[in-house]
Amino acid sequence: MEIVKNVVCPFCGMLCDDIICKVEGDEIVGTLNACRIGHSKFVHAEGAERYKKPLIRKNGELVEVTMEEAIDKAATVLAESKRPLMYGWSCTDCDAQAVGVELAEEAKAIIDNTASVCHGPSVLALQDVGYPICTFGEVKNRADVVVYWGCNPMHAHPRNLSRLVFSRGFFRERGLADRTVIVVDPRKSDSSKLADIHLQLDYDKDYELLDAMRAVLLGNEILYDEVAGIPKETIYEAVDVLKNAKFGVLFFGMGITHSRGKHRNIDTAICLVTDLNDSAKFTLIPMRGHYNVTGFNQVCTWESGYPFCVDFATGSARYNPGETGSNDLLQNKETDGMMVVASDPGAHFPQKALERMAEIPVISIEPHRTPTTEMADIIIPPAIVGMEAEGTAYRMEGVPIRMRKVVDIGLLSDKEILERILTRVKEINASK
Amino acid sequence: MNFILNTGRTIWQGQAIESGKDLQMYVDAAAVCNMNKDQMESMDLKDGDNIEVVSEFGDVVVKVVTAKEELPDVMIYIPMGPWANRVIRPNTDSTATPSFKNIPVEINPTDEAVLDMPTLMKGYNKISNY
Repeated sequence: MEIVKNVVCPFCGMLCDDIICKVEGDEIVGTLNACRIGHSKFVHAEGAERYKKPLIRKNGELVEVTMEEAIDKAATVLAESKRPLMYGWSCTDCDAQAVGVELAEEAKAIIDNTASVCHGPSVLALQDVGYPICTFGEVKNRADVVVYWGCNPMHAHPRNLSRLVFSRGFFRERGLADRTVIVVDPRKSDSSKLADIHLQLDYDKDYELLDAMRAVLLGNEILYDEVAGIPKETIYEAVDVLKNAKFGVLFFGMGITHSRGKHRNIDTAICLVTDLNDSAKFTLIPMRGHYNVTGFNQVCTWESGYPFCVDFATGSARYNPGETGSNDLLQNKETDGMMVVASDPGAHFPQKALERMAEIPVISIEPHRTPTTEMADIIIPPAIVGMEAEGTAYRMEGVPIRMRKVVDIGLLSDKEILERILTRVKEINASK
Repeated sequence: MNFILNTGRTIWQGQAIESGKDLQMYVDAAAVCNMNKDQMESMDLKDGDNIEVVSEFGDVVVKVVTAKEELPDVMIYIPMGPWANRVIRPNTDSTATPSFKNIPVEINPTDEAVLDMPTLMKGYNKISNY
């Protein structure tokens, strides 16, 4: 058995870079340091279907085809659709994403990533009011106040607390004992059970609570006994902790991006952080889900000027979330051909979007059997980045990290598959 | 009985999606509705009973389990996935993002079976384009 050290985990935006893999032949058979979810990604589970050959659904049945036929069919869908949509991108590397943007431009497609069902509202908000972010190193070494708002890292980012909050830092020698943890969640979540202060607010009332905290911070009194179900004394106490922070950080998640108010919640949360810098040093980090969702927003912005929902229909980049988002296009039945790369909208889009995916040609570049491949006409299996292919990914706070190749299974990478489709789309367009 | 549906990650759902979405593990992790013990007792439900969850936007059958993370009285929690997404609010409010959380739903006990992933997806009647 071979031991491979310093492997980067390709699951969540934490990009844990201390994983040890136990390798036998071309298979990872065990891990050290990975969380329950990361371990499940590295090690193949008995019975789970892994695609190794391209497939095309013919008369309802998936049939093995050559790579050339699959690439040709995929390119034809993109070149011949009036409103092609290219969605996903968050479980692959930045070089593949860059080829994706070039392909979208060539196919006059819309390119969108999983942020549009995740931290999309955060992206809209940071464009409105800014992005006072910091790195993990600063959290670990400096943070004495850590706020988790609408996120549950014990389940979604299992090593966040152990790496950044429980751990000892340069200025926080006792680790957790030197920090105050505040969790804001309507549930008594497993993360809230570790908190010094749990603000158990009413659901859909994040905006009200954020606004009340800003008002208190700016020297105003709360005129009601409680706001969002939180007694005003508790709000005063929490604001007192925040404004006296030597170095504070706000982690936030789907609890505020997916509930009423969406990007307006994040607007106000960012403004709270900005206000806090009058009396404290305060920063924020969005709890990004997929390991390279941040990378796509970076790549797409430097390639097109916009982070997601980018429409190349007119030949130049246009950006209008609400019209050019994947869910808008599918639910309005605008899209007539879809390519899914490195994500699973079949599992994570609402019913109304899936009804459209069932009607149109769907290409899925995907290693495993998923709800999306159940809806796909063309399946092209790639090597998995971070395990079977190398590449660069951006951690949730924007630090780029090189992912390692641990085993070789002889499949094309996402980048190589996309390059072949791009070449074929160029040929089809040239012959028009 | 009426509730507010919350959805999101659980570590078991995360483990299941990475192990294989075609495994029974995924059904066991994501086709479940977490509910407070006292609410289950008031509806005469026990762990493993099937319930139908109905919203303005769709319906789905899932198994009820006792919530390990206590919920507000009005709330139930189904992990993110194709079962929860049968009933969430698809509208993006011009933000590109659907409303995955805090959906008014009605739940009732049912004898109907919980569908596995491939069977659930067959319900969308995929048209074969070749």
